[in-house]
Amino acid sequence: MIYVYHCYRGAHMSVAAAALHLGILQPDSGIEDILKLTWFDRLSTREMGIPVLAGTDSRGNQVYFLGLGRSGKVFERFMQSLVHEFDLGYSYQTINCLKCIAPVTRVGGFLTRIPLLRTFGRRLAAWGVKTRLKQLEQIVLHGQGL
Amino acid sequence: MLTAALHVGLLKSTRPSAQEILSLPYFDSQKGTDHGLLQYVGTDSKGVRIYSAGLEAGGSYIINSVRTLLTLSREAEINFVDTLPGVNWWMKAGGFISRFLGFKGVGRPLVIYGSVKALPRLAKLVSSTEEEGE
Repeated sequence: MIYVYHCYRGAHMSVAAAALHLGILQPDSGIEDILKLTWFDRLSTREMGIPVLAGTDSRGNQVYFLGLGRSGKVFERFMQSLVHEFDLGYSYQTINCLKCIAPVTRVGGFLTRIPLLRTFGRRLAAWGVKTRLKQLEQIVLHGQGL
Repeated sequence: MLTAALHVGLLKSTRPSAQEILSLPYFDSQKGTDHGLLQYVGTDSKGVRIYSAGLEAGGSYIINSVRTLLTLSREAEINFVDTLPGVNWWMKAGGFISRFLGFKGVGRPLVIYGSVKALPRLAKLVSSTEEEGE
């Protein structure tokens, strides 16, 4: 099974969700834990559409995160349509993390693009992610059928 | 849709009539909830099945990610062709007026006019796609 967590830029929510899936983050993790994530706030808009392997979970499943702009729903329909039409036997699960995003993470993500406000923006985005970790955990568990 | 129709020969020339364009399957008929769904258009002279799909403005992200993810699993013989660069403003404006605002009487003539203007470029895209597949 391949798990694909996706959000707008692939920089915050999907990275945190993949980290929760892999056990790197816990629902009660703090801002510093989030900021320490290797891929937190790394991908830029130019790298949207590139799935990044976050790791392999305890059951041997590959876990990816991905930025898709506002195209998450269309992406999910397209994947499903391709796999069904061509009978690809491809075992995957896509999880849209944008539904959990806090407005403050959006603001923080925007500020990180301004060089002088990068550090502040990262902390703001991480704080927003922290406030939604429990919700993220729910969709991570739901995605795994747990 | 137009490019797929050219590829399978549903459009015989790059100067079709409005009626020919309107009679194409799926032409100017997609709703938002259809975006992302594969539409079988036909089979080309080499037996290759040709589909169209509407992927909105994020087509390049979606195609990149799907291509990568499918390659991870197995060698899928699917060639994705992004036709958005061949779409002109007449088609975008007409499509918006027809599909989003619901004014088909205004939007469709614009789409058809834009389609006829875009067809030579789309025909080149079909040729290069066929050459890649050989």
